[in-house]
Amino acid sequence: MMRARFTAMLPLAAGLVFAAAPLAALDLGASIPLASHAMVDADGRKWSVGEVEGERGTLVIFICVHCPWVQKWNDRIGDLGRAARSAGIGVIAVNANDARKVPQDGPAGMRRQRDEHRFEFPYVIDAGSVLARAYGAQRTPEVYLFDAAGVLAYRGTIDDNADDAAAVEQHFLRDAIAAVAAGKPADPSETKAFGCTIKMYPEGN
Amino acid sequence: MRIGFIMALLSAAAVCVVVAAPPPTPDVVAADRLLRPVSGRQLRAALAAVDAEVVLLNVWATWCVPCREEFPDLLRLRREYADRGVAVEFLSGDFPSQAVDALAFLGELGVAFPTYVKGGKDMELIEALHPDWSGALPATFVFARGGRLLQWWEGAAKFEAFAAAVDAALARRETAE
Repeated sequence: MMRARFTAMLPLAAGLVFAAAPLAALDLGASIPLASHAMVDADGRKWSVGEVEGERGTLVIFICVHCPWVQKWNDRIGDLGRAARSAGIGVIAVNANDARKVPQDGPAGMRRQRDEHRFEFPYVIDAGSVLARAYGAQRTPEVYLFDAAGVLAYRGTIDDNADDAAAVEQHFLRDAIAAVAAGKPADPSETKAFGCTIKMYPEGN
Repeated sequence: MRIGFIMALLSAAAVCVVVAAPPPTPDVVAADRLLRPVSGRQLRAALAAVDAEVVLLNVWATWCVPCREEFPDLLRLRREYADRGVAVEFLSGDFPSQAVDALAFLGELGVAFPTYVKGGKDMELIEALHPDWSGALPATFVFARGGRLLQWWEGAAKFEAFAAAVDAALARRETAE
C-alpha cells in the first residue's frame, strides 16, 4: 500500500522534461513487501527479507557504500543492528544503488564497509532496485522497521545528528527498536533526515 | 583552528547568540556572507520576502555529486532569467564541519552572492519545505512571489528542466493577471 506523493502542484505543459517524481513511501501499517524476493550478498550468498524476520520484528535498512551520510552513520548502523538482533529483531541491510553508476557501491566496497563497521547481519545487493521500488525508498540511509506481525511500525532515519554521534539528542531508531521489541508503537513513527538519492537501476534491469 | 572558528560563527548565528569574537579573518567574513544558517521556518520566511515573481530554491551539498553537477546549470538559470523576475536561491545541507568545503565549492563557481546553509535540525527543515520530501538531495522547489510553493522534485535536473519549471511558473502568473 502506497500513499500518493504530490510533487507538482502546478499544471505542467505536456512534454516538459523533469526529474523523475519521487516514489511514494510504504505506508505505516503496511505489510513487508516482497518478503521472499531473493537477493545476494557481496559474497554471493542468497538472502531474502523473509529469511531474516525476527520473532519480535524486522529491520530493513537501505544503505550504500559511497554516501557520506551513510558513512557518518556506519558505526551506529553496526551497533543498532547488533542491538536489534539481541532484542529479537531480524536485520538486513540493502544496497539498491546501481554500481555501474557508482562503482564504489560494488561488492568489494560493501565487503569493506561490512567488515570495518561490524555489520553482523546480511548486507545484500538489490539488483534492479526491485526492493527499493517496492518500499518506495528514496535515499540512503532509510530505515523500515516492522513489528512482530510484519506490519510497518517505523520508517525514517537513524537519529537527529548524522555528523556527531556524541551530540545526538533524539535516538529515533534505537527508541523505535526498543518499543517494537516490547510490542509497543514507535513514537515517533516517522522521521526524516537529509541523505543521498538512491541511484536506481533502470526499471526492468 | 580556523575551521573551528567558522563553525562556531555559523552555529552562533543560527541561534542568534551574540559572540564576542576577535577581528574576523577573510574566511570568516566570507562564511558569514555567503552561507547564512537558517532553520526551515526562517528559510520559508526569507523566500517569501524575495522580491521576484518566481523563486527557485535548490538544496545541495558539497559531497552530493549530482548536486555539484547541476549547480552550473542553476547558475546559468540565475543569469539568464534575472531580468524576467526569477530569483535562484541555494541552501546547503552540508554538516557544519563541511562549511569550508562548501565555501570552496562556491568560490570555484564564482558564487559571490548570499546563500543559505542548514542551521537547524534536518527534519524541521525538510518538513518546512514539503512534508512529502524524503530529504534526498538534490531537491528543487519553485515558489511564486510571496512564498507559495508551486512545484518541487527530488534528484538532479538539467538547465532545460529548470527553465521549463520557471517558464511554467511565469506563464501561470501571466495567465492570472
